[in-house]
Amino acid sequence: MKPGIVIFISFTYVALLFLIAYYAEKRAKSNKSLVNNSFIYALSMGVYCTAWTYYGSVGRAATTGLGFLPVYIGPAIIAPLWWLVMRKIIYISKNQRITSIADFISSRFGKSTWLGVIATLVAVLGIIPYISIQLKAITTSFELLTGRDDLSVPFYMDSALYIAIALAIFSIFFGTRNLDPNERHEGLVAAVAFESLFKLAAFVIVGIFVTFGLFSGFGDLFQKAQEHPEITRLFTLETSGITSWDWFWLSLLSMSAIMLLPRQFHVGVVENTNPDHVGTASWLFPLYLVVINIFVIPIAIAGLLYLPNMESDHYVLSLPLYNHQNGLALFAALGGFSAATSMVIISVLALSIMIGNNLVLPILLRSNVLEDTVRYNMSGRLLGIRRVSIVVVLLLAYAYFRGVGNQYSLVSVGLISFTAIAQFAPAVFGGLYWKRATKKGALAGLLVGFGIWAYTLPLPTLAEAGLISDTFTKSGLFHLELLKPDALFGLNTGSPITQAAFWSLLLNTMLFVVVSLNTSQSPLEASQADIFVNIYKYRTPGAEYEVVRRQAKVKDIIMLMNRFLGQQRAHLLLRYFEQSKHFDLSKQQIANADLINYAETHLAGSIGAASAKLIISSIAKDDPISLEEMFKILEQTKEMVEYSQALEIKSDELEKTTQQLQKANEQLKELDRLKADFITTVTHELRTPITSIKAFAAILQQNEGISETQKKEFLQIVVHESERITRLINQVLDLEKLGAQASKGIRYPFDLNEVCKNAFQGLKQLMEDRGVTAQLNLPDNILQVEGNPDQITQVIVNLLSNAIKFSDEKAGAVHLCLSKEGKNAQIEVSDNGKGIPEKDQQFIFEKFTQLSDKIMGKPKGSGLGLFISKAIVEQHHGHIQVISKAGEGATFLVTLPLESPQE
Amino acid sequence: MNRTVLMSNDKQYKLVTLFLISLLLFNFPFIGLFNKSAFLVGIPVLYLYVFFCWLIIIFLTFWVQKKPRMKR
Repeated sequence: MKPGIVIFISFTYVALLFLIAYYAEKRAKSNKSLVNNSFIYALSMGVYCTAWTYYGSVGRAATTGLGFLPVYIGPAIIAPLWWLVMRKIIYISKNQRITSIADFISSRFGKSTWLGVIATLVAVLGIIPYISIQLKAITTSFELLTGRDDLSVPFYMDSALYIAIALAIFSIFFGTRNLDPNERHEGLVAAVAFESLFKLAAFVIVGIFVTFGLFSGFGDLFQKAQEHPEITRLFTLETSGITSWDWFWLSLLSMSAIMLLPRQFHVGVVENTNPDHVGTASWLFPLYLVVINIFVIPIAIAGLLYLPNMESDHYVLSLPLYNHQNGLALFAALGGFSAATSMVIISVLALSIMIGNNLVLPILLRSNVLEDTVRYNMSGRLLGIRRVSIVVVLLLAYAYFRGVGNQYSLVSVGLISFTAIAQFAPAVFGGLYWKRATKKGALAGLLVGFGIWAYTLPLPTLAEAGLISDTFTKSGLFHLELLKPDALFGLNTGSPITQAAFWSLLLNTMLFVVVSLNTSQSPLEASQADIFVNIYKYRTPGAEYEVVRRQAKVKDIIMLMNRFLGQQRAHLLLRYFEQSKHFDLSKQQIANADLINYAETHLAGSIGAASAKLIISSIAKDDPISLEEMFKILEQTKEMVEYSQALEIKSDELEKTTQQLQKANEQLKELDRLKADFITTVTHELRTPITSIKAFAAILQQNEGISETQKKEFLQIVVHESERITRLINQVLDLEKLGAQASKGIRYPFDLNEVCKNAFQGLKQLMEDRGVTAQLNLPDNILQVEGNPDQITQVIVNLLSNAIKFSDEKAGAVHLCLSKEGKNAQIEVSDNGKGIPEKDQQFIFEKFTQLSDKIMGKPKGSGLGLFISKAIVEQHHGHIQVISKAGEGATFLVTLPLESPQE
Repeated sequence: MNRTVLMSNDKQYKLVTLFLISLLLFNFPFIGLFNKSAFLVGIPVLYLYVFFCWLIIIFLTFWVQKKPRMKR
């Protein structure tokens, strides 16, 4: 075929892709998305099948039989788990607005810049060989169709270069036209889905042509194959050179590749429009793989039968060409072209996003090269970075292809990339389900795994290509046998891929686990770990697909408002907000931007704008960085609460003290009043006799001629009144003494009989003078009490003299009786006077109470006697009471506790 | 609500079981049972076994994913 026709048709095909992508973007703009569909989603995952699948599978099948299959068996094995694992990754990525696999890893481990940089480098270095084999496949198909050798021409004549340039333009046009916050490119996805269908159709048609055109069905084909022993050996595994060990590791590598390859992550996670599409994809995509793989072996066998001397990677094209089916060959080449282009486009886009977001931007922001003005308008700058990275990645891939890739089969180069990408598996899957995984663990695992990969797989290819010295591949690094790349640590499984995968993944996982267990997480790491592992706790259905800048939980907002504005005010404000916006906050979990702003404004009013922003950002999920600050704020608030509680307790205590002081003050005032009363009464009492003494003394002084009798009488009165003053003063002194003695307490046992007798005897004269009949009744036995006998005597004298004083004037009679009443001694003093009226009985024991009686005239006594008696009796733990009826005399009863005999 | 949760738990167990079954079926020793030079309807038994298992797993996944929707 003429090169012109091939080039023309290729470019027509690219133009068709432009049209499809353009149409899909137009539909997306008018909200009639073409891509929001589980079938398109599953088809877009078909980007997994590249030129490697299209050409390379046949090549590998021709040498190892089913050895090509683990790469597709792996995805088939893990596909049932997508519903659990992939959906979780999607939820997390939408929640955290993750844009690439490197971003995912960096985000999981505390948004670590370093981890992002390393992961980006692993992805870029791992994928460049993979892109290079796509360019190789395209170039080879051109050579086959046109019959010329591109590698022998200078590079500017090389069609692969122009293909690379065309793909760069396409990727730049649909991948970096504008900056979408969610990194969605519907045009590209539509184009990729179309390409998936196209390559499937092309491959199946070639397969049908081979199986049913060149042979009459599968049976015929296998029958003819059996005639050739070198083909028959492909029907079993060992004979075709595939061990169970290889089989297991290859399927394991592809299990991680189907989810972690940057392009798979991009179409499967970043471009996902609905997590539920994963359900359909988990059976539809494996079905796609079955269909595209059914004819691999028939084509390989047909190739071996018809073209045993041709390169087996080319059978898909050379079989139609050999049979002069030029149209079919061109169609097949376009299928291979579509397989290669879709992979290249999505890969370079995914890598450019990674390079821009996780490599270049962090470095620029850290090194402060950017002007502040530029920093605030990064989007233009970012697109520029991406465009440059797309071109750089494609040029690197082209360079690898020209320098190295041409010497290796498609599959072996592809597997090198798979092994590199598998290094992400411990960090990603460990990070998804193991909360304890730390940044240092992920970093250590990734670095060591990547190091082993680089040393055992790509470096030897560079050495073989003559780009670097090959001594280390022949005799090991530092001439150590154990460090030979193809038999690392002495393990030689025969397959460099398997042993590189084994050592790198083993040490990667071990370091990841061991370092994680021996390091701790920063607060941000811990919060990110919680979000990733428990994403279902954080998400609300559908919320991921709204482009909301700040998100916070309603209950957090309410908590903050309560804390900083007070319950009542917060409640009022929230009620007002609900009413003005017409919705019910209790039914919502995620606060919208309105509520967040509303809360922030009101918080700013009470704690200042800066603090409000800090606090809001601590609960808004867009920026969970300030967890540490949040802890600090909570700490401070707690301190304040404790402080105010302490204050409350203090003020309670103060109030109590104040009350006590007030009480004491009242008592003091009362005492003061009593004292004043006392003094008034005492002075009044003193004044009466003094006045009379003064009056009689004056009469005696001024009247010389007073009769002797009268003089005697007056002097008698003066003496009498003086005695009264003395008595009064004595009683006041007694009162004082009483207070003093209460504390001193001179006490000893004494006999009451004795005391009563003495008191009675002392007053006998007075009774006789007054003509009062007196009677004394004493018990026979001794009644012993403890106390001061003088004071008790004073009580009895007091009571007895009162009785004498108030007894009947004509036929007075008093009675003193001592008796034993249970454990008490009872002294009874009675008279036959007028008695004490009941209403006065309660007052008679108080100070200065004198029963005034109009008939009786001036009271006799100071009014202190009974008060003192009562005080004395009570000091002796006794009791005094009066029994009286008006006109029937009065009886005073004093009870004193007897001293118990054993003491 | 509870029923959906229970069903979704069921679904998870079924899917994990499917994963484990396919892990077993597609690896040694099971794959070794058919690793011999024999033919069934003219096709090597190893090829038949692998593609048959593959389709079964796909069908079961489809069935598990579809089932709750049919009940709705």
